[in-house]
Parts: sequence; structure tokens; C-alpha cells
Amino acid sequence: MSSHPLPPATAERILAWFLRGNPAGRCVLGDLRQEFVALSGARTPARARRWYWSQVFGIGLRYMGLPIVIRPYVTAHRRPGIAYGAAENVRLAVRTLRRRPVFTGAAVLTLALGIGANSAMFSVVKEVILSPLPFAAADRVVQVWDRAPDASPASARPMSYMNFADYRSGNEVFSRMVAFTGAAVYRVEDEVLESVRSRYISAEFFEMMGVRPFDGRLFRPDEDLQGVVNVIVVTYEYWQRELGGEDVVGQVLPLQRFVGVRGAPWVQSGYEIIGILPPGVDLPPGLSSTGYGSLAGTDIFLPFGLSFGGPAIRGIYRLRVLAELRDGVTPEQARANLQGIAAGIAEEDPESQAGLTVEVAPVVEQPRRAYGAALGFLWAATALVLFVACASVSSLLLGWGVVREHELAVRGALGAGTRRIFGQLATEALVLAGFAGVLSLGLAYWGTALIKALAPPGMHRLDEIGVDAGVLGFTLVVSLVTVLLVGLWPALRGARRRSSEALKEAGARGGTMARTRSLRVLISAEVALSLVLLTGAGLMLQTFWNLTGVETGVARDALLRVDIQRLGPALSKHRGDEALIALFQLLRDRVEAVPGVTSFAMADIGPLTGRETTGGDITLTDRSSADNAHAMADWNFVSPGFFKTLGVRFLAGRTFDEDQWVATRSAPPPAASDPPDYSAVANPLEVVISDAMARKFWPDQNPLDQIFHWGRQDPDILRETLGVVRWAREWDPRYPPPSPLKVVGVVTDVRDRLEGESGPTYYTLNVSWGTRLFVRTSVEPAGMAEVLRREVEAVDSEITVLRVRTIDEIVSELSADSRFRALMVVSYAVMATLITCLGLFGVLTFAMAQRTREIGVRVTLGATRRDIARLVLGQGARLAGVGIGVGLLLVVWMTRYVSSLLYGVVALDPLTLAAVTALIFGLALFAAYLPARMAMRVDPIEALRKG
Amino acid sequence: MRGRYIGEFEQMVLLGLLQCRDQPYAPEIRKVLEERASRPVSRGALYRTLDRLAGKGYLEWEFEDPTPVPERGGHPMRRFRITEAGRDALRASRTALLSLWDGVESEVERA
Repeated sequence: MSSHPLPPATAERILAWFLRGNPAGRCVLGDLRQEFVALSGARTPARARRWYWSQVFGIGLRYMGLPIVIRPYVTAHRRPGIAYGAAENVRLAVRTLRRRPVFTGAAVLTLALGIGANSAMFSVVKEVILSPLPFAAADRVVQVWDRAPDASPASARPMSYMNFADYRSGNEVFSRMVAFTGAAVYRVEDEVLESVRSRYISAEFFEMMGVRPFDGRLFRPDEDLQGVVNVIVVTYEYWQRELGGEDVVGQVLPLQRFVGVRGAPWVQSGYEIIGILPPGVDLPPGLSSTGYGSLAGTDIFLPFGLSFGGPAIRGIYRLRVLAELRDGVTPEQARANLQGIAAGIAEEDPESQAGLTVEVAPVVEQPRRAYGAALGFLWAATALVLFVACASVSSLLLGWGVVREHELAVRGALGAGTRRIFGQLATEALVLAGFAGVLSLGLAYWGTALIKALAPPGMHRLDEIGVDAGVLGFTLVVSLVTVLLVGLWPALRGARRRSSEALKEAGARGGTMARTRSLRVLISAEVALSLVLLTGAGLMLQTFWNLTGVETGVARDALLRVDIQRLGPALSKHRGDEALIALFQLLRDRVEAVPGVTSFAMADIGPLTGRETTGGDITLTDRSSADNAHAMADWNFVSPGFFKTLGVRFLAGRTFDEDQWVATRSAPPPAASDPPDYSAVANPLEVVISDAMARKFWPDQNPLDQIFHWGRQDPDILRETLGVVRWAREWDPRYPPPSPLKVVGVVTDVRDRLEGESGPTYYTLNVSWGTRLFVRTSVEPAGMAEVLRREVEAVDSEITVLRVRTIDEIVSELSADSRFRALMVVSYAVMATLITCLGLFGVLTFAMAQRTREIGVRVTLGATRRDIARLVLGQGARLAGVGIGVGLLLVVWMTRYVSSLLYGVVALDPLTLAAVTALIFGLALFAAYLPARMAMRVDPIEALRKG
Repeated sequence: MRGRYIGEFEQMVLLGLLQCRDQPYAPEIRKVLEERASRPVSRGALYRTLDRLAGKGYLEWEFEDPTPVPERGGHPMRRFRITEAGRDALRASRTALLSLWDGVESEVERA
């Protein structure tokens, strides 16, 4: 017997369930088995099984006659002679709903808005948070970073080579540990340099991503080691775009690469193309909220071994590090293991590594970290809208149910059972949800497009977002849950009522409000949730306004920022400080000659870059080593006229001597055999510092004329060298040359980001890395972009203008995140409030209609119109009041979740709360006003006669 | 009178049953219908119709021991047989159809 193939057991069980209660059901099962056996001889097993499954559903549907969900109603209501099938139920529901187009339209639209918003939001969350990262074993890949003692746990500092090497060789928890870092590379073509986006990358990185070469090979582990191996791997896209898609493996590409060796920081040579990556390799995006490196957008990969250059110092942090956990190792265990190694490092090199902490976090959590709070907030807002929509439709159905009690009671008296009536009401809800589901799908498509248009650029996987099968499934689930929420409560109420009572009451027409308590609960809940949403919207709007109006430290009107491709020493011309100064002067002459331009300046960073300033080490001569351990400040190179052009105010002192240019800072420390040049020591360089720097390092002193040094140095040696022995003593070659920097001026803080505090910053006169030109105009700046682009590019063919923007435009780009949140929450809040007002209006109107007779009696007994208006308005006010009270409690409870998203406003902002409360209350009264007017017009005689 | 009319598919099933002569079971009826009427017959529709015809009393069945057919997995077999009422219904619908066809055959054929 067992030699015969058997049909799929699950399918057979399902069929048996379909046929349960059928006396001949087992015969059908037997027939199908027999046919299955016969068929198995002629077809492949898979096809036979598919055939069986299709038969199961074919037969099942015939026996059900309709979807499984409605089945219980149908069997319950079937009566001999009367076709009480679900199809009839649906037909009846559609007919009933069509008789009330306003009710139906409102209910369907309300639900569709709620579900549509949810689907749109889900499609974003799915891509941004739920989508896997492009690793072969993404759940085991962790990010590893070192943390300075005073940094927050989430701020991921790049790692030094030496620390990486120690972790890699010493750990017992990773099966692979890889690193990558940025490379400065230009492609040399006909004497012209063209910037190429490139990264140094560990050989095992591609293995970790599960990537195989499209052509040629990828890096070998020995190419990770220091040594000159001039090979590169290019992406498929770069190969197609720049290399013509020809057979390039084995060919040599001339590149100029920054190696950072003193005297010859840039080296030009040929690099053999050894491999091409497959098309569409999904490189990991930024791996944390602090912009911890990204591989996306890379054109050329260089072997990790080539990245060694300059000194092996633990204090130079350049690597971004990922690792793959061994089986069964948790990130916590890995962290504990690495922390042991870190303790050894801190002991060995206490000067730069004291208090070293290492962090290990799964990469799958990174997008969640970056966007979790914001998306979570939007998600919660969306869910609230859906709840409000459900509550609103529920109250509509419930109110309608009360109106229809008489009708239902008559039906009951004519023999419709409880289940029959329940089935009818539930079917109505199902039909409503069905229409809403279809409509919401359209809204979801539209909403997703809207979110994509509004979302801040650079959001992870933004391009992938779209309504797809997952979203459809989600919509379906939400629709069904909504049906349960919306349909069953009124259906249960409707079904529970004993027909005799209902008939009696319906005849008597009194005391209906007692039975509408659930209605009032729903309306109050809606008011409460709307208040929460409106408060959120108010806070987000204020945050957005605060960000756009933030004190940037520069005079914002009529100021343009021109971003150009990095000049630096890479370009074939303008090499060396002298040439760059000459170039700056050329640019200045040319730009200032443009009519309407009042001044011109250049800087390497400049304000509002959006980056998080980390700062570099500095040393203050008059402090101990311990005090200097975490002295850091950001060093900006600016041209003459920088402060004047940007409108940065001086708080004290003056600007530096505009002839005293500072040499390039990329000079590495001298070799031991190379005696340092101390001639500058007697003649300190003038620097201007920011207010934040003055406050941090010289809080109770006059910062002017204070001296400090660039880099981490030994203050004892500095003191000795500069003060007592001067430079007669041999300088410790581990330290940078002791060029002292003297504070000559203090300026207001210039922001790099809109949020947070400005870090300590100092400015010196140098244009060697200038990438940003600043132009102040006396005319409307927006129209000048093209002229400036032309003039700047005319100075030299190797200068490419990337973008020209006004400071206001930059501010608007930087506040895109917050604008996005504000817009979303505001639209949600408006939607919820509208729905609530509709609901309130509907319920009060309905209550009014019920009380017409009572009002007639009151008027007859001498009540004035004013009394009647007060009666109805008071009812609305009470409902709103309860809702507002509950809503305020909810707002207090949610404060801790939104605080991190706010700027310049506290979560319990009294003004916002007062405004929102007043708004909701006013709208509630307005919604109650129309029914109140209706009530005032009640003609007592008519009302009594009708009753 | 109304109750005695049977639908087209019901007629076909009854006729198919009779074509099989020797108390067939459902797959055999299906085979005959597909071969003779050259139209696809879904099992669901067939089983449903057989149940309905039995409900109207036009056919009856008896269970048969499945032991000789091991591939049925022990599930019983159902052999169908037309009842007298079923024959009456077939006859009635045949009479009705024939009287309706009377004199119009040439019309239909010509078209």
C-alpha cells in the first residue's frame, strides 16, 4: 500500500476540512487519491502535487461557494426556501450602503485614508529598516569602533591601523575582520586629472559580501599587507561608464594617489586592473547616524596594503572596521573579548589611548539607529490616524446601528436570528473595509511617491521604496484588523439587542443617550488622539522653524557659497603654497570684478557643511599632560577676507595679519635623522578662535595672546624647548614641529550643523585645501549663480564648480529631515482632526435627531432657544473636554519618546499645549454648532406630533 | 411542475451516469462526460451536482468496500445509480426539449 505515491498531506487535510459534514466526503478523498496515483505515473511528482492542490481548492470553493471567512454566517443563516447565502448578504449590504451615500462615502474615505497612510509608511519602513544589508551573513556582521572616553557610545570614531591589527590578530570571536578607508585618487588622462571615487578595502570584504568577480579576480589576502602592489578592482558601472566596457582586465590605468609621504605626498604610477565587480553590487550604506563611512558610490577599489602611508601612530584614526562573528558568538561576548585587547593597548600607549573603549554593534541595527527614532515617531503618528479613522467609522456604524434598531427589531420579529443580524452587520463592515482597502491602495501608491519626494536625500535605500507584494499583504492584514475593530463592535451590539425590548423602546422613543455611551467613549478617544497628534505636529513645526532660523554665525542675506572640486596639491598646476596663493588672488580679482559682488573669500570647510565636527588634537603649553589628554579643536583654513565676507562678528581682538600665510598642515612629523626646522618657534602664527574655543579652554582668562600647539604633544617638552632651552635641545621626533599658535582674535561661533552645539574651532590663513568660495553680493544673490560659475571656471580649466547655493538654500537642505517630519506629522494631524470633527458632528447630529421630541417638550415648557443651544453645545463641550484631558495625559506620557527629535522647544511646551487645546476645543464647538442650530429650529408642535 | 425540471448540467450528469451502465463511481462519470460532451468538467462541479441530484432524490449511491483498490488509502468508493424519479425527470425534460425543438430544427441547422 505504501508503494503508491501519496498526495500532499496538508492539501488532503484541507480538503477533508472542506468536506467535513458531508456523508460522502471520504469517497471524494478516495477518488482523488486514486486519480492522483494514476496521474503520478504520467507526470513529475511536483506537477502531480500541484494538480492535487488545484483540485483541493477547486472542490473546496464549490463546496464553500464563497471565501472561507464568511462561511460561518452562511451556514448559520441558511433557511429552507430562502437563499440566505453570503452573496445575498453582500448584495444586501451593498444595497443598504448605497441608500446612504454620504455615510458610505465618509466611512470609506475615512478608512481608506487611515489604511493608505499606513501602507505608505510601511513601504518606507520595510525598505529602510527591515531590508537586509548586502552581506552574505548579514545577521552576523558587526561594526567595530574605538571610542574615546568622553565620546557618546554611538559616535563611531574611525580606528587606527595599529589598533585594527591588534584586534584582528588577538581576537577569538571573529571569523573575519575587515577594514576600509577612503583614498584620494585622480585618474591621469592627457595631463588632466580627474577625481575618482575610491576606497582601500580588505581582501576578505568582498567574500563577506558574497561577491564574485564579473571578470578577472578580486584581491588576495597577501595584498592586504603593506607593500606596493599596484592593482585595482573597478565596479561594473565605472567600467561601462569610463572604460567603455572593453576588455580591460590586465590593462594598466595611470592614477595619481595621495600617499602622505613628506616631500612627495602625491605619487603617479600605473595600476593594473585585475578584476571587475558584477553589475549592481549593493555596497553597504553609511553604517551609523554619525556618517561612519560608506562604500556606496565607489568607482575603484585599491588593495588595503596600499593604504599604509605615513607614520604608524595609534592616534591617527582612519579605518572603518567590520567583522563577522563566529557561530554562536554574541556581540556582547565579542565586545568583552576586544575590550581585553583594548586594555592592553591603553596600557602600552597611555598617552593617546588611555581609557580606550571598544564598541561592537550588529550592522543590521545601524539603519535602525539612524532613522529609528524619526520613523518610529511617524509610524506611531500613522497608527494613531488609523485608530482615529477606525474609531470614527465605528462610531458612524454604531450611530447608524442605533438609528436602525427599529429596522433590525422588525427583522428580528420576522424571524431573523441573532446570528443572521450579526452576519448582515458584519458583512456591511466587510464591504466597507473592502472598498476602503481598494481605495487605500491607490492612496498608498500616491502617499509613497509623496514620501519619496519629501524624504531627505541620502536616506538609506530611498530609491527602492515602492508599494509591492509585502505592502499589499500588509494592507490586507490592516484591512482585516480594521474590519474586526470597526465591524464587530456595532455588529455585536446590533445582534445582542432583544427584539422585543428594541421594539418597545423604538416605539417609545426615549432614553437613547443611555445606550450611546460607547459612542461617546469613541468620540472622546478620537479627541484625545487628535490632541496628541496636533501636539506632535506643533512641536515638529516649532523644531523646524527653530532650525531654519538658527543663529548660524554668518550674515545670511546675500551670501553665496560656491563649492568647487578640491584644488589641493593634486592638480597638475597650482602645486605648492605659493601657486595656490596666486590662484586665490586670480579668483578674487575675477570674482570681485563681477558687478554686484562686494567681497570674496575661500575656505577649506566653511559653515553649514552638515558634518559633525570632531576636531583634531591640540596641546596647551600651560597645562599638564592629563589636562591636555582630550583637548581637541577643529582647524579651519581660510583666506584673507573670510570673516568680512561671511559677516562673522569679532567678539575680541582682530583678524590675523593677512600676509602671514600658514604652510600646509599635511606635513608628517620629521624622521629622526631629519632635524626639525624651529625657526618658526620664535615667531608664532596668528590664529583666530571661536567663542566656543575661548569658553572651553580659557573660561576665566583673556584668550587673546594665549599660545597653543597643533597635535598631541608633550607639554613638558614644549615648555622646555620654547621657554628655557629654546630649540637647542633635540626635539622628540614623535611629535609634530612645535609651531606655536597665538590667539589674536575671538569670533562668534559659526555652525557646521543646525542642531547641537558648535565645537571649538580655530582659523588660520591658508588656501591649500580650499574647496569653498564665498561671495557676498549687493544684489539678489540667487540670479548670480551662472555668472559666478562661468567666471570661476574661466580662471583655470581644471577648476570645476560643483554647486552654487545661497546660505538660505543650504539651511533649507540641512533642515530637510526636520521639514520632512514636520510635514508628515502636520498632514497626519490635520487628517486626524478633520476625521474627529466629522465624527463629533455626526454623533451630535444623530443625538439631536434622537432627542427631537424631548426638545419639543422642553420648548413647550418654556425653554428658550439659548437654553436649547446650551444643551447641545454643552454636550459637545463635555465630550471634547474629556478627550482633551485624556489627550494631555497621553502627551505627558509620550514626552520622553519625542525629546530627541526636537530642537529649541521642550516636549511639554506650554504654549503649544495651550494652542492645541484651544484649537481642538474650538473645532469641537464648531462641530457642535451645526446640530445646535438644528436643535434651536425644532418646531415643538411638529416634534411632538412626529413622536 | 417547477421542481421536476432539471438544469442542463444535471441532465448531462444523469445521462453520463446512464451511459456508464454498470453503477459507475464519480471519476468514471466525469470521464464519459469529457469524452462524449467534449467539455471540461471540474471535479468540484461534478461532486456538488451529484450531491444535489441525490438531495432531489434523482439518484442514489451505495458504498463499496475499497480493499481491492489499495491506492484509495482505505477511503470507501461510492457507486451511483439513477432512481425512478431521476428517470422521470430525464423523461420530462426530454419531452419538453423535443416539443420545443419541434419544427425549428431546420431553422437552427440553416444558420
